[in-house]
Amino acid sequence: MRSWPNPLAPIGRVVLEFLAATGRVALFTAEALWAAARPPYFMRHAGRQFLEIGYYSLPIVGLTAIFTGMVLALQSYTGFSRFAAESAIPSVLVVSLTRELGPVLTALMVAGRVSASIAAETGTMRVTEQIDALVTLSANPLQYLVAPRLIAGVLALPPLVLVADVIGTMGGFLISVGKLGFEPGIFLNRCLESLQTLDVVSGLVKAAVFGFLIVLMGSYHGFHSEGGARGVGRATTNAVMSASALILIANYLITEAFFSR
Amino acid sequence: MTGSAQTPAIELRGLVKRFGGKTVLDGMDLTAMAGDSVAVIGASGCGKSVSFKCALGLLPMDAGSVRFAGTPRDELPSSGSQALMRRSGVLFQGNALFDSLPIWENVAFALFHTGPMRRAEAYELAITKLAEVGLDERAANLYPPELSGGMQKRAAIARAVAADPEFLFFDEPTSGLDPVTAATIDRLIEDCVTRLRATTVTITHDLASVRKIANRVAMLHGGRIVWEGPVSELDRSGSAHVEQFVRGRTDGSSTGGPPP
Repeated sequence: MRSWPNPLAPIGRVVLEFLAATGRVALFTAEALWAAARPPYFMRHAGRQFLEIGYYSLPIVGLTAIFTGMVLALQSYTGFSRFAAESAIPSVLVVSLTRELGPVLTALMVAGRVSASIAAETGTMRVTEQIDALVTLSANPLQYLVAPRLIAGVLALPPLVLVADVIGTMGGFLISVGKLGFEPGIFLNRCLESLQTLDVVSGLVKAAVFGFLIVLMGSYHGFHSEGGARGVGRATTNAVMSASALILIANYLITEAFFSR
Repeated sequence: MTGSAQTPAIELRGLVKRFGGKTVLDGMDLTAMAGDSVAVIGASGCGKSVSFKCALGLLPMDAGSVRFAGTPRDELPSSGSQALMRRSGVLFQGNALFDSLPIWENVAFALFHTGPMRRAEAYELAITKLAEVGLDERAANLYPPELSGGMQKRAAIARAVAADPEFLFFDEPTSGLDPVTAATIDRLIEDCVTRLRATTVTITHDLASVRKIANRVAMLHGGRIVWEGPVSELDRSGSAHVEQFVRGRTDGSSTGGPPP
Protein backbone atom coordinates (compact mmCIF):
# COMPACT_ATOMS: atom_id res chain seq x y z
CA MET A 1 0.00 0.00 0.00
CA ARG A 2 1.33 3.39 -0.94
CA SER A 3 1.87 5.70 2.05
CA TRP A 4 1.31 9.43 1.61
CA PRO A 5 3.99 11.81 2.87
CA ASN A 6 3.09 13.63 6.05
CA PRO A 7 2.38 17.26 5.05
CA LEU A 8 3.57 18.46 8.46
CA ALA A 9 6.97 16.79 8.12
CA PRO A 10 8.66 19.64 6.19
CA ILE A 11 7.43 22.16 8.77
CA GLY A 12 8.72 19.92 11.55
CA ARG A 13 12.10 19.64 9.84
CA VAL A 14 12.37 23.43 9.52
CA VAL A 15 11.42 23.92 13.18
CA LEU A 16 13.92 21.29 14.34
CA GLU A 17 16.68 22.79 12.20
CA PHE A 18 15.86 26.25 13.56
CA LEU A 19 16.01 24.97 17.15
CA ALA A 20 19.30 23.17 16.47
CA ALA A 21 20.79 26.31 14.90
CA THR A 22 19.61 28.40 17.86
CA GLY A 23 21.26 25.92 20.20
CA ARG A 24 24.53 26.04 18.26
CA VAL A 25 24.55 29.85 18.31
CA ALA A 26 23.75 29.89 22.05
CA LEU A 27 26.59 27.45 22.74
CA PHE A 28 29.01 29.45 20.60
CA THR A 29 27.95 32.65 22.41
CA ALA A 30 28.53 31.10 25.82
CA GLU A 31 31.95 29.76 24.77
CA ALA A 32 32.92 33.13 23.26
CA LEU A 33 31.89 35.01 26.42
CA TRP A 34 33.80 32.55 28.60
CA ALA A 35 36.81 32.95 26.33
CA ALA A 36 36.57 36.75 26.60
CA ALA A 37 36.34 36.62 30.38
CA ARG A 38 39.59 34.74 31.10
CA PRO A 39 43.25 35.37 30.24
CA PRO A 40 45.22 35.59 28.05
CA TYR A 41 43.78 38.89 26.76
CA PHE A 42 44.91 39.89 23.29
CA MET A 43 44.63 43.64 23.88
CA ARG A 44 46.79 44.65 20.91
CA HIS A 45 44.50 42.60 18.70
CA ALA A 46 41.42 44.18 20.33
CA GLY A 47 42.86 47.66 19.68
CA ARG A 48 43.42 46.84 16.01
CA GLN A 49 39.85 45.54 15.78
CA PHE A 50 38.51 48.68 17.47
CA LEU A 51 40.11 50.74 14.69
CA GLU A 52 38.82 48.34 12.04
CA ILE A 53 35.25 48.27 13.33
CA GLY A 54 34.95 51.83 14.62
CA TYR A 55 37.32 54.23 12.92
CA TYR A 56 37.13 52.75 9.42
CA SER A 57 33.33 52.68 9.57
CA LEU A 58 33.14 56.45 10.17
CA PRO A 59 32.84 57.49 6.47
CA ILE A 60 29.95 55.17 5.66
CA VAL A 61 28.20 55.89 8.97
CA GLY A 62 28.61 59.66 8.48
CA LEU A 63 27.27 59.49 4.95
CA THR A 64 24.28 57.41 6.00
CA ALA A 65 23.53 59.70 8.96
CA ILE A 66 23.68 63.01 7.10
CA PHE A 67 21.35 61.89 4.32
CA THR A 68 18.98 60.24 6.79
CA GLY A 69 18.77 63.49 8.76
CA MET A 70 18.15 65.47 5.57
CA VAL A 71 15.42 63.14 4.32
CA LEU A 72 13.82 63.00 7.75
CA ALA A 73 13.57 66.79 7.85
CA LEU A 74 12.05 66.93 4.38
CA GLN A 75 9.54 64.14 5.01
CA SER A 76 8.55 65.49 8.41
CA TYR A 77 7.90 68.88 6.85
CA THR A 78 5.73 67.31 4.13
CA GLY A 79 3.60 65.56 6.75
CA PHE A 80 3.52 68.15 9.53
CA SER A 81 2.82 71.15 7.27
CA ARG A 82 -0.63 69.66 6.57
CA PHE A 83 -1.49 70.20 10.24
CA ALA A 84 0.54 73.41 10.68
CA ALA A 85 2.86 71.47 13.04
CA GLU A 86 6.19 72.34 11.38
CA SER A 87 7.56 73.51 14.71
CA ALA A 88 7.65 69.86 15.86
CA ILE A 89 10.23 68.95 13.22
CA PRO A 90 13.34 69.53 15.41
CA SER A 91 11.87 67.39 18.21
CA VAL A 92 10.83 64.57 15.90
CA LEU A 93 14.18 64.69 14.13
CA VAL A 94 16.39 64.53 17.17
CA VAL A 95 14.32 61.97 19.06
CA SER A 96 13.96 59.66 16.04
CA LEU A 97 17.66 59.88 15.35
CA THR A 98 18.92 59.26 18.87
CA ARG A 99 16.41 56.59 19.81
CA GLU A 100 16.01 54.64 16.57
CA LEU A 101 17.56 55.72 13.30
CA GLY A 102 21.03 56.49 14.59
CA PRO A 103 21.58 53.13 16.30
CA VAL A 104 19.70 50.97 13.79
CA LEU A 105 21.05 52.48 10.56
CA THR A 106 24.58 52.66 11.96
CA ALA A 107 24.37 49.03 13.03
CA LEU A 108 22.98 47.90 9.67
CA MET A 109 25.74 49.71 7.79
CA VAL A 110 28.42 48.29 10.11
CA ALA A 111 26.84 44.84 9.82
CA GLY A 112 27.24 44.99 6.05
CA ARG A 113 30.86 46.07 6.34
CA VAL A 114 32.18 44.37 9.46
CA SER A 115 30.12 41.20 9.80
CA ALA A 116 30.89 40.30 6.20
CA SER A 117 34.57 41.03 6.66
CA ILE A 118 34.84 38.99 9.87
CA ALA A 119 32.96 36.05 8.32
CA ALA A 120 35.13 36.13 5.19
CA GLU A 121 38.39 36.36 7.15
CA THR A 122 37.47 33.73 9.73
CA GLY A 123 35.93 31.48 7.07
CA THR A 124 39.09 31.66 4.98
CA MET A 125 41.13 30.84 8.08
CA ARG A 126 38.88 27.83 8.67
CA VAL A 127 39.16 26.41 5.15
CA THR A 128 42.93 27.05 4.92
CA GLU A 129 43.53 25.27 8.28
CA GLN A 130 44.72 28.47 9.98
CA ILE A 131 42.24 27.90 12.83
CA ASP A 132 43.60 24.35 13.23
CA ALA A 133 47.10 25.86 13.26
CA LEU A 134 46.05 28.16 16.13
CA VAL A 135 45.02 25.10 18.15
CA THR A 136 48.34 23.37 17.46
CA LEU A 137 50.15 26.53 18.64
CA SER A 138 48.30 26.20 21.99
CA ALA A 139 46.05 29.17 21.31
CA ASN A 140 42.30 29.06 21.88
CA PRO A 141 40.82 30.33 18.57
CA LEU A 142 37.86 31.84 20.42
CA GLN A 143 40.19 33.79 22.69
CA TYR A 144 42.44 34.93 19.87
CA LEU A 145 39.91 35.59 17.10
CA VAL A 146 36.49 36.15 18.65
CA ALA A 147 37.02 37.68 22.11
CA PRO A 148 39.04 40.75 20.94
CA ARG A 149 36.48 41.43 18.22
CA LEU A 150 33.56 41.11 20.64
CA ILE A 151 35.19 43.60 23.00
CA ALA A 152 35.98 45.94 20.09
CA GLY A 153 32.45 45.65 18.68
CA VAL A 154 30.76 46.44 22.00
CA LEU A 155 33.07 49.41 22.61
CA ALA A 156 33.18 50.81 19.05
CA LEU A 157 29.48 50.99 18.21
CA PRO A 158 28.34 53.47 20.92
CA PRO A 159 30.79 56.23 19.83
CA LEU A 160 29.86 55.54 16.20
CA VAL A 161 26.20 56.00 17.07
CA LEU A 162 26.95 59.26 18.90
CA VAL A 163 28.71 60.51 15.77
CA ALA A 164 25.75 59.39 13.65
CA ASP A 165 23.33 61.21 15.99
CA VAL A 166 25.29 64.46 15.69
CA ILE A 167 25.83 64.22 11.92
CA GLY A 168 22.20 63.20 11.34
CA THR A 169 20.96 66.18 13.35
CA MET A 170 23.35 68.35 11.35
CA GLY A 171 21.79 67.05 8.12
CA GLY A 172 18.31 67.86 9.41
CA PHE A 173 19.54 71.27 10.57
CA LEU A 174 20.98 72.09 7.12
CA ILE A 175 17.73 71.27 5.34
CA SER A 176 15.50 72.91 7.96
CA VAL A 177 17.52 76.13 8.00
CA GLY A 178 18.62 76.25 4.35
CA LYS A 179 15.44 75.04 2.68
CA LEU A 180 12.50 75.10 5.10
CA GLY A 181 13.16 78.53 6.60
CA PHE A 182 13.84 77.63 10.26
CA GLU A 183 15.82 80.04 12.47
CA PRO A 184 19.12 78.26 13.37
CA GLY A 185 18.93 79.23 17.06
CA ILE A 186 15.30 78.20 17.45
CA PHE A 187 15.94 74.87 15.67
CA LEU A 188 18.85 73.99 17.95
CA ASN A 189 16.98 75.11 21.08
CA ARG A 190 14.02 72.90 20.21
CA CYS A 191 16.36 69.99 19.62
CA LEU A 192 18.00 70.42 23.02
CA GLU A 193 14.68 70.97 24.82
CA SER A 194 13.20 67.77 23.36
CA LEU A 195 16.20 65.58 23.97
CA GLN A 196 16.24 63.60 27.23
CA THR A 197 19.06 61.60 28.74
CA LEU A 198 17.07 58.40 28.27
CA ASP A 199 16.89 58.98 24.51
CA VAL A 200 20.67 59.04 24.23
CA VAL A 201 21.28 56.27 26.77
CA SER A 202 18.81 53.90 25.11
CA GLY A 203 20.53 54.54 21.77
CA LEU A 204 23.94 53.79 23.25
CA VAL A 205 22.73 50.60 24.94
CA LYS A 206 21.28 49.50 21.62
CA ALA A 207 24.58 50.30 19.93
CA ALA A 208 26.56 48.13 22.35
CA VAL A 209 24.14 45.22 21.89
CA PHE A 210 24.20 45.63 18.10
CA GLY A 211 28.01 45.70 18.14
CA PHE A 212 27.99 42.40 20.01
CA LEU A 213 25.53 40.82 17.56
CA ILE A 214 27.43 42.02 14.48
CA VAL A 215 30.70 40.47 15.65
CA LEU A 216 29.01 37.35 16.98
CA MET A 217 27.27 36.57 13.69
CA GLY A 218 30.38 37.27 11.60
CA SER A 219 32.48 35.04 13.83
CA TYR A 220 29.90 32.26 14.15
CA HIS A 221 29.32 31.90 10.42
CA GLY A 222 33.04 32.24 9.65
CA PHE A 223 33.94 29.60 12.22
CA HIS A 224 31.43 27.15 10.81
CA SER A 225 32.12 27.71 7.13
CA GLU A 226 33.16 24.72 5.08
CA GLY A 227 33.59 23.74 1.46
CA GLY A 228 36.18 26.21 0.14
CA ALA A 229 35.43 29.53 -1.53
CA ARG A 230 31.74 28.73 -1.97
CA GLY A 231 31.39 27.98 1.72
CA VAL A 232 33.12 31.22 2.67
CA GLY A 233 30.77 33.13 0.34
CA ARG A 234 27.77 31.46 1.95
CA ALA A 235 29.10 32.23 5.44
CA THR A 236 29.53 35.91 4.50
CA THR A 237 25.97 36.19 3.18
CA ASN A 238 24.53 34.39 6.21
CA ALA A 239 26.52 36.59 8.58
CA VAL A 240 25.12 39.83 7.12
CA MET A 241 21.57 38.48 6.89
CA SER A 242 21.48 37.06 10.41
CA ALA A 243 23.20 40.09 11.93
CA SER A 244 20.70 42.43 10.24
CA ALA A 245 17.71 40.35 11.34
CA LEU A 246 18.98 40.11 14.93
CA ILE A 247 19.61 43.87 15.03
CA LEU A 248 15.98 44.55 14.11
CA ILE A 249 14.67 42.00 16.62
CA ALA A 250 16.95 43.26 19.39
CA ASN A 251 15.93 46.84 18.56
CA TYR A 252 12.30 46.01 19.22
CA LEU A 253 13.10 44.19 22.47
CA ILE A 254 15.29 47.01 23.82
CA THR A 255 12.75 49.65 22.80
CA GLU A 256 10.10 47.63 24.61
CA ALA A 257 12.30 47.40 27.70
CA PHE A 258 13.07 51.13 27.78
CA PHE A 259 9.87 52.79 26.64
CA SER A 260 6.84 50.52 27.04
CA ARG A 261 4.36 51.63 29.66
CA MET B 1 62.28 12.93 26.00
CA THR B 2 59.31 11.71 27.98
CA GLY B 3 58.34 8.15 28.85
CA SER B 4 60.30 5.00 29.40
CA ALA B 5 62.00 2.95 26.70
CA GLN B 6 58.94 0.66 26.46
CA THR B 7 56.30 3.40 26.36
CA PRO B 8 55.58 4.53 22.81
CA ALA B 9 55.96 8.30 22.32
CA ILE B 10 52.91 8.37 20.04
CA GLU B 11 50.33 5.61 20.04
CA LEU B 12 47.11 5.46 18.01
CA ARG B 13 44.83 2.52 18.88
CA GLY B 14 41.69 1.47 16.99
CA LEU B 15 41.03 4.86 15.43
CA VAL B 16 37.62 4.97 13.77
CA LYS B 17 36.36 7.99 11.87
CA ARG B 18 33.19 8.17 9.80
CA PHE B 19 31.84 10.97 7.65
CA GLY B 20 28.12 10.31 7.27
CA GLY B 21 27.86 6.73 6.08
CA LYS B 22 31.48 6.54 4.87
CA THR B 23 34.05 4.95 7.16
CA VAL B 24 37.43 6.57 6.49
CA LEU B 25 39.40 5.10 9.40
CA ASP B 26 38.39 1.62 10.47
CA GLY B 27 40.47 0.68 13.49
CA MET B 28 43.80 2.26 12.58
CA ASP B 29 46.74 1.44 14.87
CA LEU B 30 50.07 3.23 14.75
CA THR B 31 52.98 3.30 17.15
CA ALA B 32 56.04 5.55 17.15
CA MET B 33 58.72 4.96 19.75
CA ALA B 34 60.69 7.92 21.10
CA GLY B 35 62.99 9.29 18.42
CA ASP B 36 61.28 7.36 15.59
CA SER B 37 60.49 9.06 12.33
CA VAL B 38 57.45 7.24 10.97
CA ALA B 39 56.04 7.94 7.51
CA VAL B 40 52.39 7.08 6.88
CA ILE B 41 51.92 6.39 3.19
CA GLY B 42 48.81 5.61 1.21
CA ALA B 43 46.80 6.54 -1.83
CA SER B 44 45.12 9.94 -2.11
CA GLY B 45 41.84 9.98 -0.21
CA CYS B 46 42.68 6.95 1.98
CA GLY B 47 42.42 8.98 5.20
CA LYS B 48 46.02 9.92 5.95
CA SER B 49 45.24 13.57 6.72
CA VAL B 50 42.12 12.55 8.66
CA SER B 51 44.24 10.30 10.90
CA PHE B 52 46.67 13.20 11.38
CA LYS B 53 43.83 15.51 12.48
CA CYS B 54 42.29 12.87 14.75
CA ALA B 55 45.68 12.29 16.39
CA LEU B 56 46.02 16.00 17.12
CA GLY B 57 42.44 16.37 18.34
CA LEU B 58 41.49 18.66 15.45
CA LEU B 59 38.78 16.19 14.39
CA PRO B 60 36.72 14.17 16.86
CA MET B 61 37.15 10.40 16.58
CA ASP B 62 34.21 7.98 16.56
CA ALA B 63 36.26 5.40 18.46
CA GLY B 64 39.82 4.67 19.50
CA SER B 65 42.48 6.29 21.62
CA VAL B 66 45.53 8.51 21.14
CA ARG B 67 48.35 8.53 23.66
CA PHE B 68 51.34 10.81 23.84
CA ALA B 69 54.14 9.37 25.99
CA GLY B 70 51.56 7.11 27.61
CA THR B 71 49.09 9.92 28.42
CA PRO B 72 45.65 9.57 26.80
CA ARG B 73 44.99 12.81 24.92
CA ASP B 74 41.22 12.63 25.28
CA GLU B 75 41.40 12.46 29.08
CA LEU B 76 43.40 15.67 29.37
CA PRO B 77 41.64 18.86 30.52
CA SER B 78 41.83 21.78 28.07
CA SER B 79 44.87 23.20 29.88
CA GLY B 80 46.57 19.78 29.62
CA SER B 81 45.68 19.59 25.96
CA GLN B 82 47.26 23.03 25.40
CA ALA B 83 50.35 21.92 27.31
CA LEU B 84 50.56 18.88 25.05
CA MET B 85 50.31 21.12 22.00
CA ARG B 86 53.23 23.15 23.39
CA ARG B 87 55.29 19.95 23.18
CA SER B 88 54.19 19.36 19.56
CA GLY B 89 55.09 20.98 16.25
CA VAL B 90 52.81 20.70 13.24
CA LEU B 91 53.35 21.40 9.56
CA PHE B 92 50.11 21.60 7.59
CA GLN B 93 49.76 20.58 3.97
CA GLY B 94 48.83 24.13 2.90
CA ASN B 95 51.27 25.62 5.46
CA ALA B 96 48.42 27.42 7.31
CA LEU B 97 50.53 30.50 7.92
CA PHE B 98 48.51 33.41 9.35
CA ASP B 99 47.98 35.88 6.50
CA SER B 100 47.50 38.82 8.86
CA LEU B 101 50.85 38.40 10.63
CA PRO B 102 54.39 38.89 9.29
CA ILE B 103 56.48 35.74 8.91
CA TRP B 104 58.47 36.32 12.09
CA GLU B 105 55.27 36.60 14.16
CA ASN B 106 54.02 33.39 12.57
CA VAL B 107 57.22 31.63 13.60
CA ALA B 108 57.24 33.04 17.12
CA PHE B 109 53.47 32.81 17.65
CA ALA B 110 53.53 30.07 20.27
CA LEU B 111 56.38 31.79 22.10
CA PHE B 112 54.99 35.25 22.68
CA HIS B 113 51.28 35.22 21.82
CA THR B 114 50.55 32.24 24.03
CA GLY B 115 53.92 31.79 25.72
CA PRO B 116 55.98 33.74 28.21
CA MET B 117 58.45 35.39 25.81
CA ARG B 118 58.60 39.15 25.21
CA ARG B 119 58.16 40.58 21.72
CA ALA B 120 61.78 41.64 21.14
CA GLU B 121 63.08 38.33 22.46
CA ALA B 122 60.63 36.39 20.28
CA TYR B 123 61.73 38.40 17.24
CA GLU B 124 65.37 37.42 17.79
CA LEU B 125 64.45 33.78 18.19
CA ALA B 126 62.26 33.85 15.07
CA ILE B 127 65.16 35.31 13.06
CA THR B 128 67.42 32.48 14.31
CA LYS B 129 64.83 29.81 13.47
CA LEU B 130 64.25 31.33 10.03
CA ALA B 131 67.99 31.40 9.37
CA GLU B 132 68.09 27.66 10.14
CA VAL B 133 65.66 27.05 7.28
CA GLY B 134 67.45 29.44 4.94
CA LEU B 135 65.28 32.57 5.25
CA ASP B 136 66.80 35.96 6.02
CA GLU B 137 65.55 38.93 8.07
CA ARG B 138 64.04 40.60 5.02
CA ALA B 139 61.73 37.59 4.52
CA ALA B 140 60.94 37.64 8.25
CA ASN B 141 59.22 40.99 7.89
CA LEU B 142 57.15 40.05 4.84
CA TYR B 143 53.62 38.64 4.99
CA PRO B 144 52.93 35.02 3.86
CA PRO B 145 51.29 35.91 0.51
CA GLU B 146 54.45 37.84 -0.40
CA LEU B 147 56.57 34.65 -0.30
CA SER B 148 56.93 31.86 -2.88
CA GLY B 149 55.49 28.39 -2.13
CA GLY B 150 58.91 26.99 -1.19
CA MET B 151 59.67 29.94 1.10
CA GLN B 152 56.27 29.59 2.77
CA LYS B 153 57.01 25.91 3.39
CA ARG B 154 60.35 26.81 4.96
CA ALA B 155 58.62 29.39 7.18
CA ALA B 156 56.00 26.82 8.18
CA ILE B 157 58.77 24.36 9.13
CA ALA B 158 60.46 27.09 11.18
CA ARG B 159 57.14 27.68 12.99
CA ALA B 160 56.68 23.95 13.63
CA VAL B 161 60.10 23.58 15.27
CA ALA B 162 60.28 27.02 16.92
CA ALA B 163 59.48 25.74 20.42
CA ASP B 164 61.83 22.71 20.14
CA PRO B 165 58.96 20.20 20.27
CA GLU B 166 59.13 16.56 21.36
CA PHE B 167 56.52 15.45 18.82
CA LEU B 168 56.51 16.55 15.20
CA PHE B 169 53.74 16.06 12.66
CA PHE B 170 54.22 16.81 8.98
CA ASP B 171 51.26 16.62 6.61
CA GLU B 172 52.38 16.21 2.97
CA PRO B 173 55.47 18.38 3.43
CA THR B 174 56.56 18.23 -0.22
CA SER B 175 53.23 18.21 -2.07
CA GLY B 176 53.04 20.79 -4.84
CA LEU B 177 56.77 21.54 -4.80
CA ASP B 178 59.25 21.02 -7.64
CA PRO B 179 61.78 18.15 -7.12
CA VAL B 180 64.65 20.45 -6.15
CA THR B 181 62.61 22.43 -3.61
CA ALA B 182 61.08 19.17 -2.35
CA ALA B 183 64.57 17.73 -1.79
CA THR B 184 65.57 20.90 0.07
CA ILE B 185 62.49 20.63 2.30
CA ASP B 186 63.28 16.95 2.96
CA ARG B 187 66.81 17.90 4.00
CA LEU B 188 65.47 20.63 6.30
CA ILE B 189 63.04 18.21 7.93
CA GLU B 190 65.80 15.63 8.33
CA ASP B 191 68.04 18.27 9.97
CA CYS B 192 65.29 19.40 12.33
CA VAL B 193 64.35 15.86 13.33
CA THR B 194 67.97 14.91 13.94
CA ARG B 195 68.74 18.08 15.89
CA LEU B 196 65.62 17.96 18.06
CA ARG B 197 65.55 14.15 18.41
CA ALA B 198 61.79 14.51 18.19
CA THR B 199 59.38 11.68 17.50
CA THR B 200 58.05 12.42 14.04
CA VAL B 201 55.02 11.31 12.08
CA THR B 202 54.95 12.35 8.42
CA ILE B 203 51.92 11.90 6.21
CA THR B 204 52.99 11.64 2.59
CA HIS B 205 52.69 9.81 -0.69
CA ASP B 206 56.09 11.01 -1.87
CA LEU B 207 58.37 7.94 -1.74
CA ALA B 208 61.54 9.97 -2.33
CA SER B 209 60.62 11.94 0.77
CA VAL B 210 59.90 8.78 2.76
CA ARG B 211 63.34 7.31 2.00
CA LYS B 212 65.07 10.51 3.14
CA ILE B 213 63.21 11.47 6.30
CA ALA B 214 61.75 8.29 7.79
CA ASN B 215 63.21 5.25 9.55
CA ARG B 216 59.87 3.41 9.66
CA VAL B 217 56.97 3.27 7.21
CA ALA B 218 53.30 2.40 7.69
CA MET B 219 50.93 1.82 4.78
CA LEU B 220 47.32 2.96 5.28
CA HIS B 221 44.71 1.21 3.19
CA GLY B 222 41.00 0.64 3.75
CA GLY B 223 41.13 2.64 6.97
CA ARG B 224 43.79 0.39 8.58
CA ILE B 225 47.55 0.05 8.62
CA VAL B 226 48.13 -2.93 6.33
CA TRP B 227 51.93 -3.00 6.56
CA GLU B 228 54.48 -1.46 8.87
CA GLY B 229 58.25 -1.87 8.84
CA PRO B 230 61.66 -0.26 8.49
CA VAL B 231 62.14 1.96 5.47
CA SER B 232 64.89 -0.41 4.25
CA GLU B 233 62.22 -3.10 3.76
CA LEU B 234 59.89 -0.93 1.73
CA ASP B 235 60.98 -2.56 -1.55
CA ARG B 236 60.62 -6.12 -0.21
CA SER B 237 57.63 -5.72 2.06
CA GLY B 238 55.74 -8.76 0.80
CA SER B 239 52.54 -6.68 0.89
CA ALA B 240 50.62 -6.40 -2.37
CA HIS B 241 49.34 -2.95 -1.36
CA VAL B 242 52.80 -1.62 -0.63
CA GLU B 243 54.25 -3.14 -3.75
CA GLN B 244 51.56 -1.63 -5.91
CA PHE B 245 52.10 1.78 -4.24
CA VAL B 246 55.90 1.62 -4.56
CA ARG B 247 55.81 0.50 -8.21
CA GLY B 248 53.02 2.96 -9.03
CA ARG B 249 50.92 0.27 -10.71
CA THR B 250 47.34 1.17 -11.56
CA ASP B 251 46.05 -2.43 -11.31
CA GLY B 252 45.17 -3.62 -7.81
CA SER B 253 43.28 -2.32 -4.82
CA SER B 254 45.54 0.48 -3.57
CA THR B 255 44.23 3.13 -5.91
CA GLY B 256 42.85 6.27 -4.30
CA GLY B 257 39.37 6.58 -2.92
CA PRO B 258 37.11 9.60 -2.91
CA PRO B 259 37.96 12.25 -0.35
CA PRO B 260 35.77 12.29 2.76
